Amino acid sequence: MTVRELYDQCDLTLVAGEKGLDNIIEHGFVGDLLSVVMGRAQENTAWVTIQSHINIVAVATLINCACIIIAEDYEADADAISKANEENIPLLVSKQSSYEVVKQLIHLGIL
Amino acid sequence: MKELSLHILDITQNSIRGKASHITIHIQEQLNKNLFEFTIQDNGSGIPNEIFKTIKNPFTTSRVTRKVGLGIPLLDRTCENCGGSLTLETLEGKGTRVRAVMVYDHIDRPPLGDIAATIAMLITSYGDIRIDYIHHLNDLEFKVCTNDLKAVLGEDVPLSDTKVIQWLKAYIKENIEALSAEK
Repeated sequence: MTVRELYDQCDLTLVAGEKGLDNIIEHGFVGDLLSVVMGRAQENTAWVTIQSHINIVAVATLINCACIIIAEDYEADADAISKANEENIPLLVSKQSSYEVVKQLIHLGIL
Repeated sequence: MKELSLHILDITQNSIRGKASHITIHIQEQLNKNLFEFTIQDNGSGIPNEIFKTIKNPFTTSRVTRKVGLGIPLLDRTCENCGGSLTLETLEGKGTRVRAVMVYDHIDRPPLGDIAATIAMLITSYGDIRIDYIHHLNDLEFKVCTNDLKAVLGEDVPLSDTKVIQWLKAYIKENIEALSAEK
């Protein structure tokens, strides 16, 4: 599925990276320790995290992430937003916990 | 990074890439002030001003193989998240000093990890570089350095000998544990 389809079907706020909405999601990953995400997440992943600093955008470019979903309604930093726009990485914010977001991803068929 | 020793390895590798011939790694466990601090000082090439200005931004890197570098940015976040800070000082052609400070008992502070293996690996892999390791626990001190080891081993036994590596790892581990036992 595409990030756009995910965005249309879930209660998410798009804060940056609109041009990346047609990215394909093939996998999911949850993690807040960025070095672990760098080492373990696959390409084209919908990555769920509570981190909201510019470092997440750097990690996303390294792993060719499909999109970043910031859980717990954390506010993305301004420089993270501008860099995500530059790199076309959709930054989506959810009011729910990481666990609840993952439940939705699974429900939508991202296994 | 799950352990601070991995950050220490990462920063030290920056110094090595910066052509340092002398690197001092100093760990200070200041239990009396509830602070955990480490500094890595080198006499390498220093960080050019245009990179230094944005050194904590992950899209700044000295690497040419990829456009992002996360060593400093990740450590910076770790320090900030743990009630401390990361300070860098550099002088082109003279060297760089990286100082990381964290609240000792902060719940998010990563453990130091296997520092003995990290230091033993660094000292034995880079015999041409003088590496000084100093570990303080309050006022108690343990020190080990490349030059002292070379003096003891003499010309015949190379630092990279497997037995030297194994011995050094155990030696550092024992001495650090001894500090905690003494405190």
